[in-house]
Amino acid sequence: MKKMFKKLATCALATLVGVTSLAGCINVGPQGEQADRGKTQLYVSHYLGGVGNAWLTKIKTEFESLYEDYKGENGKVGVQVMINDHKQDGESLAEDIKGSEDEVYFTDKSRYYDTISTGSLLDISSIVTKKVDGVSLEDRMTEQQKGYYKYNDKYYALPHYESFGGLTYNKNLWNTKSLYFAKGKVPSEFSTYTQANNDNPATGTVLEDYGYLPTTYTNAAGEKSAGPDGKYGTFDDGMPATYEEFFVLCDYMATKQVTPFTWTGRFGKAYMHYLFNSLWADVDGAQSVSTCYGLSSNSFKVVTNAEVKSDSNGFVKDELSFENVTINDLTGYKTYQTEGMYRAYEFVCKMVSDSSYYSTKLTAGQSHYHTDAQREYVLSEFEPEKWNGGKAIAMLVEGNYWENETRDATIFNELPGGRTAEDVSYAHMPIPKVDESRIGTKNVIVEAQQNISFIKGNIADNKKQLALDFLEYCYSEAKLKEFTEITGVTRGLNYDLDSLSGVGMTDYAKSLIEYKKNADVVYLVSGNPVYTNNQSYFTYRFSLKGYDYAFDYIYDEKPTALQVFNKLKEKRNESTWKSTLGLNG
Amino acid sequence: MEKQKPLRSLNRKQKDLLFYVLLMAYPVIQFCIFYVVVNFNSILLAFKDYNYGTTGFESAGYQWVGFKQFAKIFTELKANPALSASIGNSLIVYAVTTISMSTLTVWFAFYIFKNKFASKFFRIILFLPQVISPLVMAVMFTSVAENVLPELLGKSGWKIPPLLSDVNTRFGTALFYSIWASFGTSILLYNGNMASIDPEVIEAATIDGADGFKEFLYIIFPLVYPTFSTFFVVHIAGIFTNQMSLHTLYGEMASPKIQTFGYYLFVRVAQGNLKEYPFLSAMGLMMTFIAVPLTLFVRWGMKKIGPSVD
Repeated sequence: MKKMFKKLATCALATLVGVTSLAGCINVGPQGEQADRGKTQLYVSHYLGGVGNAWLTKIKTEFESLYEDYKGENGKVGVQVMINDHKQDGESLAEDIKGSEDEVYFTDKSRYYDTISTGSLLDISSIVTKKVDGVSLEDRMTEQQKGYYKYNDKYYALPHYESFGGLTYNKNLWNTKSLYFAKGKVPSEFSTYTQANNDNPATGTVLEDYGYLPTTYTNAAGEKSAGPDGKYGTFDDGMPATYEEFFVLCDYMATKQVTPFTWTGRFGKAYMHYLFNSLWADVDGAQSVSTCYGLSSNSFKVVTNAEVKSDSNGFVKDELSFENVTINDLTGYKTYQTEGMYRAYEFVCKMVSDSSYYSTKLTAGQSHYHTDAQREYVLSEFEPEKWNGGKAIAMLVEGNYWENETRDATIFNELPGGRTAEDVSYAHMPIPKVDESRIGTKNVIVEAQQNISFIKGNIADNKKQLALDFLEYCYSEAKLKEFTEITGVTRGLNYDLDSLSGVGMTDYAKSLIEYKKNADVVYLVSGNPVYTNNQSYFTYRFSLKGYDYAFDYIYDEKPTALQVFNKLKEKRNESTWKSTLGLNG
Repeated sequence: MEKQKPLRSLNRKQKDLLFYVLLMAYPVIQFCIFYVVVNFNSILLAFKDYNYGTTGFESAGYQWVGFKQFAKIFTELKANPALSASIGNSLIVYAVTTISMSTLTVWFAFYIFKNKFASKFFRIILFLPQVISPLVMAVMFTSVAENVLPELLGKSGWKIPPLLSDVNTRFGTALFYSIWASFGTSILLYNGNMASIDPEVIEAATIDGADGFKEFLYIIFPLVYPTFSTFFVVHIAGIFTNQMSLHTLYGEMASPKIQTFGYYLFVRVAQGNLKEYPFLSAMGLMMTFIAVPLTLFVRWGMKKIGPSVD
């Protein structure tokens, strides 16, 4: 009897272990969807991040309907798209692709060349070069993208969504606290405006005090300044046009019970990296940024000397001297000495120089996650006492997908007094220009994450065409637009943004579209073998892997921009550049 | 045709052997694949470099490059302060961990063993990190160190910064957590060791007039010395792999100022790519070259200087 019991117990345990280990093998899709064996399954791996999955779920339904008569092998009719939402980014997925059940991928942070060179990706040139209404997906790419995505004359992936970052501002707060700059009341337009209107001529005193005069500011209904684009009647009206105006505004906020910024303490260096990128690119321009990866230029402007002018009050930019140099594989280290990088340090050094500029919760950084920053940013407008010592927070340092994340984290459901997401309004803040002379220069968007879509290389032969059809469908112009309408985020291709319906899009999403329409997009990639063979060295320009993070240094030690600039210059010198990248000559 | 021998006809020895083979086959195969093969491949990787190929997949792949990756380590050590700082931090962590483990844990174990005042409370507090999931523990600790303590002490007029974020306190706090989190295991082993000591030996010492200190010094410590020296040697062996719980506390975002070599290497591998793996492999191998003779030397030394049980 005892023996029998032991045997039974052993069998039961073995069955339990077997069943639980097999649980992972059961074919289930989103929300536990079971595989319909009468149909052909197409497995889709999807990084569930800032853009959510509503766009893909819609495509799944449509594609299944379009292919309901599809004849697969073994008499199967119809297609079932099985979406596998997960949080594994492209970097960690890279080595699992071949062995995975998933066939079509939409990933964040790719390791494109790793995956191609190990044969993990399928050649998708047929759909990239196919003309639809006279335009191919290749035509929708920039030259820089073509150089990167084309590997031995074949395409293996397509850019997924564009992620870039910077500053978000709270439009309601700008209105209620009157934080918009008024027309003609900022130095960049004071003299011309006052002269044109026969107003009082600008005096030195007024210019010095302009930031603290109530007349400098207005609300949403008032006449606003032209902003960084220098044009009235555009999306950036009333925004600070220069670094000086930006920090004058920050100081003014203190008098209005407003804290200028918050960002995530725990992932601060990653999110600040977005801001660094935006600041750098805005000064240097898309061409210069692109040269930092392509490593080819006969006339590349670098800083030769800097005279520190910064002041603890307000913002005074340092005086820089320049020279033009030639950039090639061997002199690539000089691309770390540009004015844009210097000005980015200046801006961020000023941002963190005064702790009253940022949220009180940031000091306890390790317990301050990105959703914590989003929560205090959203809720401090209505409950400032509870969230930020009585002050609302004006700006958030984040990625362009943050509003989706906030919605997915149900933070808008926490709005007090029965408010809903309809009661809040945000917008992307254009990067202010270094000085008045640069007002009107084009914005630059830096896409740094390399989010891509692809099909796995060892997909079954009988499913190749189906997977290609699916990917092509996801990249039809209608679907590209729909993606933007649903997520508020753009895909990494050129398509018509003017004809977006705007229905259901938030103010923030609309501001991103407006910003993109007026911007050059630059990708931090190239087809240069020095880059492709050493991608990780180029990945984080301001927080290089294995090196000191620029933001850590700035936040911890509060150095001057010149000190940060010299520190990186020292690390990225000729000798280390050549030895690390294996260059001779 | 010879009839197959039924299992029932096997003798006891054969059955035992069969049982042993079946029992051990799975772990041995696992060990061979996931330890021997993987580590051997890592060693080979240190002498290779990855080329992404410029003319197609045919030319992409790993190539033998001799000691090139090892030479790169010295360049990196010179150019990358985060790496050299991580080695320095590892040595500090080793020193503090070894000192605390070799003094505090033995004392605490003895205290609990003797059932002194509040020993049950200490037992719970010290075993807590072992019974609660490390992730949950880290979240709780982070919350206490970052928010609860500064808030509570702030109210009583003693201002302290968020301990894991502040530049001056983060290393010490992480180190404290790391030691505390591994305290329970050591105490458990020492306790088990002490519990196995013949009570008559202790009784005899007490009759001979030995007080608590003498009992510890002349009876307990010599008898737990093998465990003590094992810990000592294990710490040396783990000098370059100890992550000081940084990944649990900070994820991949720990400041370069507080990183240990173990953490540094782990994060770089986690974020690395095919091109970087050979270099990281060479770096790991080089640290092994340093740690192995050091470990053997310490082991030899511990045997030499250890107290006699007699």
